[in-house]
Amino acid sequence: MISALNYLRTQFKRSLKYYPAVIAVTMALIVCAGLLLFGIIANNEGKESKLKVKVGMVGEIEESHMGVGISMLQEIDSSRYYVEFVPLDTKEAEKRLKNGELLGYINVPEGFVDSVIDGENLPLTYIAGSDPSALTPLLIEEVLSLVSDLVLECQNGVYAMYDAGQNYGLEYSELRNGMEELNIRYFDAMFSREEAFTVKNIGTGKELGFGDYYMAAFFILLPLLWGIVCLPLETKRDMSLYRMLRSRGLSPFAQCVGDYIPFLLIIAIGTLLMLLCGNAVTAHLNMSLGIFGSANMVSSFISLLPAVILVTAMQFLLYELTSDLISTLLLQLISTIGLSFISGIFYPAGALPSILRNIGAVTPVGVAFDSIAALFNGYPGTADAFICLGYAAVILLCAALVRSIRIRSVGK
Amino acid sequence: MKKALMWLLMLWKRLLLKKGFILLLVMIPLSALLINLSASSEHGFITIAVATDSSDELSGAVADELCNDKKAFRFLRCDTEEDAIRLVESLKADAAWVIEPRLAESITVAAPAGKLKIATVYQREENVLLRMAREKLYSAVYPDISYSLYRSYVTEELLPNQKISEEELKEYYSQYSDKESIIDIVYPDGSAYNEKSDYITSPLRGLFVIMLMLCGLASSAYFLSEEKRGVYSLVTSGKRTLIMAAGNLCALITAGMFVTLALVMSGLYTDFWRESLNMILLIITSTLFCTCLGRIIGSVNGLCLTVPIILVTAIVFCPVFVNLNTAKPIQILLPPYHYLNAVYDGSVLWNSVIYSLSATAVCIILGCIRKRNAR
Repeated sequence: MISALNYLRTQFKRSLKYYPAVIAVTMALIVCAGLLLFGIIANNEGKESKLKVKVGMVGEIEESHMGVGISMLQEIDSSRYYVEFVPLDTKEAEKRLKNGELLGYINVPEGFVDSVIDGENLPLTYIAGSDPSALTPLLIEEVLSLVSDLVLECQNGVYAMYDAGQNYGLEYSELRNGMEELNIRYFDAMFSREEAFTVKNIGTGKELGFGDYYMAAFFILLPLLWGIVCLPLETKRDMSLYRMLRSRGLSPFAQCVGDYIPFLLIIAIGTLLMLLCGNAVTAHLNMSLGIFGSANMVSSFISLLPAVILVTAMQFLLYELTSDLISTLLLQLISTIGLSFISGIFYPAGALPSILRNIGAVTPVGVAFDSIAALFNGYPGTADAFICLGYAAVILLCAALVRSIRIRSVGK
Repeated sequence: MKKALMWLLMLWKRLLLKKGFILLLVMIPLSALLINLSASSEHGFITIAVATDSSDELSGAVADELCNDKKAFRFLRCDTEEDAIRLVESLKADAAWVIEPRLAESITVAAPAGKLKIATVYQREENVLLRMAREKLYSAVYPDISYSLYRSYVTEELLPNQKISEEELKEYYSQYSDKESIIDIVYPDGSAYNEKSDYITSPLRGLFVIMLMLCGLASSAYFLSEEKRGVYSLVTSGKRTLIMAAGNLCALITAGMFVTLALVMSGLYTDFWRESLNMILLIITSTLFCTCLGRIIGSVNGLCLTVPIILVTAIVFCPVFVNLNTAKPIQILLPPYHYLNAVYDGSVLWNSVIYSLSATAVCIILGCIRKRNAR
């Protein structure tokens, strides 16, 4: 009779032989995605300018009204916090748009200002770049819509005033003065629009900042990717070995435990390495980001473990479902991408439609992510850990059940 | 010719018998359907709770206008200030706007004096998105502010001694009300802006082409697995690269059809000729990329280990979720990068043509090296 301990020992040895390959691929993954993401987050953390976009201005913007208008926008208007207007010529604007240095550029036609004064309104053309996120273009669309409304309503009021004055027999010079004065009032109202709001900040409470959120997401994505890297080790191509073990007294559940623990160990060691690397980098940059920079690495690692156990249990179950290497790869990748999307790894969960948010929250990836987010927030909960471990136990039982069914099925 | 067609048919048929490949193909339009359905429900990158005075018609109308505009922001109506603040404290909303009671009256009196208050804003902390959201509220109220400024100036400064009725003032103002926007939004090739663009569905195009590339990589992996089993032992070494490329082409043409269907289902499909040309170039470049990669790596295990790295690289460096302007040498190696940049800028298509020619040369060299090693 083969004991569970002997089987576990054998699987450990088998995993250790494969570990150098895992390390090599893991390092490639870290170099490729992790440091880049880390750099982006570290550069953008805490800066309000992180969403400040550049919009080019092409055309006759040096003439007095347009040039003054843009200067005023950049210096005193509240839009200076999120958009920067860059005067350029057409060729430079096209080049910078292609290179992604500009979100878009506005083409100001010749005689634009005069056309607005005369009420003919030659249109401005905004040439939009193909930003994939669609969020910043959406926001710029909102801003452009506001600009158009401000100009049109101002025009409305000034022309209406002119008509009223003309109807009541006012002289041209009085009407001209009236137009200028009313324009000034409109400008005043426009530039002081922030004062129309009384803003009270009530504190962040239990909310993760931008950098911490995506660092927590990274801590879920990496174990998922490492799990896929273990593909040649974990794919159950042939059930004959497991049938033999079953016939020698090793139950499917014991087999699953013997296979799962070395798999978990590989991922857990990878997570520890990630923590050590992150700590070294944050110490070098003299900053604190998420749980990096924390004094107690052991405590951080132990707090991360329940989430890692849950994610690896899910992957282990997926490995039990297929027998072909390539099908296993495809299943793992589809699950990783799909579950990551709905669990808020790519977009903040709050930004997703409620149906996706609700489904994502109950998936293993979503539950693990919530647990890590709580840890990053400084509020690690034992309840989160127990939920992760309980969920993982259920998944492993399912994996054992699948193993048992596959062992019994003939000819597979 | 007949032999070539026979080969293509067999390569295609064997792909359609692979369950994993079929699953991947089906997932493409299925995910488009699911995401599109869910995107039709309420969502917003930030959520704002709006509390209004129930007796004030204007603030109710403003709140309705905001709630009906479903783009970047999501607005929730609340009956009381306390309800709105509670949503912010419980992280269900990013900010609460408590619209001033008797807003219409406030605009009429305070706006001309420059002392207008529209709303009290409760938020956890200030950020750029919340500033932009306040612009939206101002824009919703601005027509009334504008009218108030005009009315006040005409009655108090311009014609103080005349008795002008409210109807007359409105008549002058309404003459110029139906003007179109002064800003047209277009793409670099002059095509009209996609007003239905949504941050939820926008990355779908990038994700679909990544799944298309995954189909090509899976096809390469199937070929390597079959080659190892000796399926192609009667074929000379030099021709096996060609067969691998043909198999990848079959896989990618099939995937391309599903991706096109998914683009139509998710509302991202633009112009027939542009999309067709772009897709054909993507299929060609992806075929060559997957063939080169398969030949360079040479083993199924090695290719399976490389696939996650390729996918992560593609998601990070191609403009799927963000447009990172960095690591150009890596970006230009990835077929999805050229495809996604060419969607709204046709002049970039030449990059795909140059890529195809270069990758063809690499494939031929790899084939020759393999042939020489086999002798």
